[in-house]
Amino acid sequence: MSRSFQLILLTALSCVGAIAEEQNFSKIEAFLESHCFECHDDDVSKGGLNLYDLDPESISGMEEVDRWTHIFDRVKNGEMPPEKKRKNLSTGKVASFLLALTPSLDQADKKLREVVQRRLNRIEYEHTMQDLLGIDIELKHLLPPDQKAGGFDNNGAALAISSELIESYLKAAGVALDAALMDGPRPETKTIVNDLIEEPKPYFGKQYEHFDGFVFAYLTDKQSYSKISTRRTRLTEPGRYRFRFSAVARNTDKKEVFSVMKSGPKTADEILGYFEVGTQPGTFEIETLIEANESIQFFALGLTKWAKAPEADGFPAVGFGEVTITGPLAEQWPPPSRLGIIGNVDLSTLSDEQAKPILQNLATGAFRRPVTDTELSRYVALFEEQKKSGLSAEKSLRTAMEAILCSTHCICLNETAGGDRISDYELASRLSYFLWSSRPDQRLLDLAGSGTLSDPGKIDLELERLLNDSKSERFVKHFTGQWLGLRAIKETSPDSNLYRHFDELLETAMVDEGEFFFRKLLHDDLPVSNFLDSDFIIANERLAQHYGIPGVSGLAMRPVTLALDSVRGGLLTQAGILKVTANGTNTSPVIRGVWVLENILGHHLPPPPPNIAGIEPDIREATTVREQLDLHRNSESCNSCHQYIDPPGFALESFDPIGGFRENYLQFIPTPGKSWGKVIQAKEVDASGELSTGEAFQDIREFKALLLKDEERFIRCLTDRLITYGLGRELGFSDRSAVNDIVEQAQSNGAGLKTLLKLIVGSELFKTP
Amino acid sequence: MIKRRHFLRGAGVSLALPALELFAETEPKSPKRIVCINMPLGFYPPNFFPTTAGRSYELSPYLKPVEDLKDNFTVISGTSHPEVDGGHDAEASFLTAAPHPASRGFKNTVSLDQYIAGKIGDQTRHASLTVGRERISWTATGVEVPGESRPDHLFAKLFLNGSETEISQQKQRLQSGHSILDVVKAEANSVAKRASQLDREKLDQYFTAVRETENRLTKSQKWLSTPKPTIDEPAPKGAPRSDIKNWLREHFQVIRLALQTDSTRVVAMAGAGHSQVPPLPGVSMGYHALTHHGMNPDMITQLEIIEREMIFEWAGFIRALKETPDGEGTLLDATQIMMGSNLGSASGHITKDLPVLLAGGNWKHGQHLKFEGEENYPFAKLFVSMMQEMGLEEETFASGKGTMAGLV
Repeated sequence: MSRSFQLILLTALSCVGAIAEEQNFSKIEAFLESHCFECHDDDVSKGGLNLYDLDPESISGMEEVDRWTHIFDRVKNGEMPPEKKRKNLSTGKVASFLLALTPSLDQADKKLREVVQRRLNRIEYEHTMQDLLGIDIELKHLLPPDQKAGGFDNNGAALAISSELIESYLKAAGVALDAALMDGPRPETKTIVNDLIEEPKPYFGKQYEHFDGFVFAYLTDKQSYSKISTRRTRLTEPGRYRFRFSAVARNTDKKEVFSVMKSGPKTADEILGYFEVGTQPGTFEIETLIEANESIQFFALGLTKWAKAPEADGFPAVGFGEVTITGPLAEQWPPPSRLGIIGNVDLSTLSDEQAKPILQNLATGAFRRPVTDTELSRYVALFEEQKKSGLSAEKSLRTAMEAILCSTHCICLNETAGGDRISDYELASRLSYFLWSSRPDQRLLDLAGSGTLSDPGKIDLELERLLNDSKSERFVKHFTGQWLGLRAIKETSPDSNLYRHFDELLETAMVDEGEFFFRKLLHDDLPVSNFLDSDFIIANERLAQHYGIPGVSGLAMRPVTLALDSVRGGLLTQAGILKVTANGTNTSPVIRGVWVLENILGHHLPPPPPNIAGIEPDIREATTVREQLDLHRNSESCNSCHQYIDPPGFALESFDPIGGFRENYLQFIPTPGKSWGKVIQAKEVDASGELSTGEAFQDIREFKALLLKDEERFIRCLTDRLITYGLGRELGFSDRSAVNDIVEQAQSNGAGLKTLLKLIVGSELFKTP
Repeated sequence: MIKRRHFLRGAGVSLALPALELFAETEPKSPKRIVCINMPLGFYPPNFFPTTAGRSYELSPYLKPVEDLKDNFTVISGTSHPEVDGGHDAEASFLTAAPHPASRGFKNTVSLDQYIAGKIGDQTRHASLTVGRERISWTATGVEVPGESRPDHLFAKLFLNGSETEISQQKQRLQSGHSILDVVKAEANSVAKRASQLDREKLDQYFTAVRETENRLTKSQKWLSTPKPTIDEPAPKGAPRSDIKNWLREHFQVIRLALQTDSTRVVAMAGAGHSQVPPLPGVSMGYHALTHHGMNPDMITQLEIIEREMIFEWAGFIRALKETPDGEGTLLDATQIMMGSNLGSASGHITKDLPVLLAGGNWKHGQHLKFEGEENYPFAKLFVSMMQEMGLEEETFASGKGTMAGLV
């Protein structure tokens, strides 16, 4: 073929492309002209949309892409044009409009979909430093809080950088290295015994007792202060300590639960664990980092709140025996973290030759890939310069190490290999930050180094391995914490007049249920439709009691098979989710409805129009929130969103603000002039509704059955959530076909949760910058 | 005398001459300060808002007990930030006015305090103080500036000097800080060469941040040799946040001392919005739960107890500023205190009709400035007024285009 002929052919081909484009635009134009401009022009601009402002030939920027995507979806779903304007509209016309819009929208969207320079959030930073340096101190409180985008706080676009942050990195790097390089003489480990008697002693024979070396507590109160504690033993040396104690229950035939909390004058309280013990004494051991003057406190849980003579009246109690405190622990000295970073080098006589490999080793670990000579030379130069300025070799080394830990290669997931594939090292980091919220381990880095990580099958095996590691708990915790909103569990405190039985143990079990349920589906690769409805739940005694399910005893969470007619099963009836979508006193169908749309159905709504009066709950009125909403939906503009929002919210009205099942609303009637009152059953709950499709339901069970009919919609939503979290970026129009592929493959492979994860990490999306 | 801000409003942005030269003779002797306070759960509206407007307005139930201060503050009603919704999430936008704080792609913008600190912060040891809970102060890139929520810790940061060893260690750390930043900057430069467009925007953010950090380190180095002011009042004990009354009182004490010693001129404070039960007689339920009273009279009674105490502590703060001489006037004359809430009514998470009190500064107080009309008046116009009163030549702030009408 001659060159000139080639040229002619090329020109002709690009002309064909241009013509096709031209045809698309005129199709779009014609559709808008005949079906949309009437309401969305300069004059009317219904719903704030003026289509004259939007040019399909040059879609650019997030705002325009969002607008066009919204237009695409509303037309596709048949929501626009509205019913009364659809006379001359055939399905073919709609399809051809959508087809015509797709290429330009896809192209515009693609430009925005890139994992931007994503810095570690403070949780990831802490785990990374801990795993890199072999330390276990907390660091995240040294960094400013992170913001979210797309529902997650690991989103590259939302993780902004400021001087606040850079200053914090400088500080945190210093603190981390202090902890890792601990030197000096081996700390003297001491053992002290505390009999716990001193403080409760005046109350023996009343609310406390002392039998056989155990101090017994009969009451459970909500305070963060317990008289049974080790605070009389002053631990002035910070470090790792072991607390050994025995405990026993009395006046009971079941196991009683207690918690142990770490507290100090300068630090926030931290629950170290929940334990259970029966009338047979048990021995317990806790190892934890102690700051100066911290102590541990014991709280008996689930006991009575008040009794005058509890022992005489046979109330159950939990007793605590003497506590043996050992620490600061220093089994290995110098500590392994120090050896791991500098080996046996004597820093007081550190030479330049010794410094270089130390810095190289640290930088390789911190950057999660081999360092180049140029990169390394910067840190070596910094070390030498600091020495020249008169600092000791040790301090100079410290400065160079801090610089490594503040480098963009350390604090950002740099993906700069170029091209349309990320490198294997970058892939290793993606995988480990997805599943471990931390750096890749040596094996992952080795696989990346040998260039085999992206081999088919290999990444599946690695996924399996990473999930079997306890570090994958972080994925379960942070993903469910944000997807399901469980991080907000403590943000509201239930009305103590109406929900007297609510306690800390129940609150803890609520979060555990969400996490354990997710983990169960993940590990057993169970179908994700279980999230919509399941024939089992995960519960312990306290939670089962809350749900009115008999036969579950003890603190441990375990699968419990549900009765056929149970309202429970799936996510929507989990108490934790029902609590975070309520305010402690009332429930709002709007808030819960929006929650279901966003997190279960993947239906994103525009914010309500400005200057809309919100609904204020008023228990005195005869109207329920539901009746107020009925009025609301008579307005066309309100109804355009509330037809979707309200029905799922109505279905969940059967659950009170702490997730208990209810047939009537509760109301507290105070006794005049007193601080008490009574709780009465008020109006009956109506949990029925009708979806926008016209399908009606009577209660939550029927609502869940309707959800299951469109299971694919949920799978797509969950896939979107998982990828958004895994990549650290929001998905857009141009990602839809990739997501659809994953959903389709998942469905034809049983739609197990682990299968879905495998498809995600094996997908092209996961390997694209 | 023409008031400075009036002149500025007329002159618009064309005013190019340095303000100091022009107005040297009218420039007040004591520096201007600003305190912005957000009480994230607001105030029960019927008790907060006066029913009559204007200068001869009648004080509302909550304001009645602070009648002695009537000429020292202005009640502002009928304002809110346009397009700021999202219930409790609106607290992030209280000082930024950034729209739709609860939306998925929300990115915050600079808050009023940080903006002002960027202009005048170099004149004091601390460019600004962020006090209290979270989500009040934001940098220009939308990073949250963390707040100090313990009054005793804040006191220590402002007024307790480190030991000599600590200071010399600090000195060395600041010096190596500079060297570290040089290296990471050089490295980021080499990354930038290979970066994509989107990545480059992020890297620009990074370079700006590094540059600012260098300035901050330099400033810290300068202040290191200046001892912190000595205070002859007892340090606060460190009331926990649940003890809302004492927590506010202690914070207000430290803020007053910080202003008085000119340790800072800009303070943003996020008040308590917790769910614990405050240790106040007659209160048995959590504060947050009480705001969702659903018109239950018993709950409203309890809520009133808490909210009255909050107003009481605010009034104590205003009085203390009024009693503190500063230059030729009082500290109150030199300090504008704006207290408001991101919620007009917490019971329904309503973000319209925000309760706002403006005290201090060079304003003719003693009125209830009530904005009527179907749409709320843009709240951020108050921010512009306040900035102009501080002598800053600003015409807009976010959705606030121009100054607030009726404020003189």
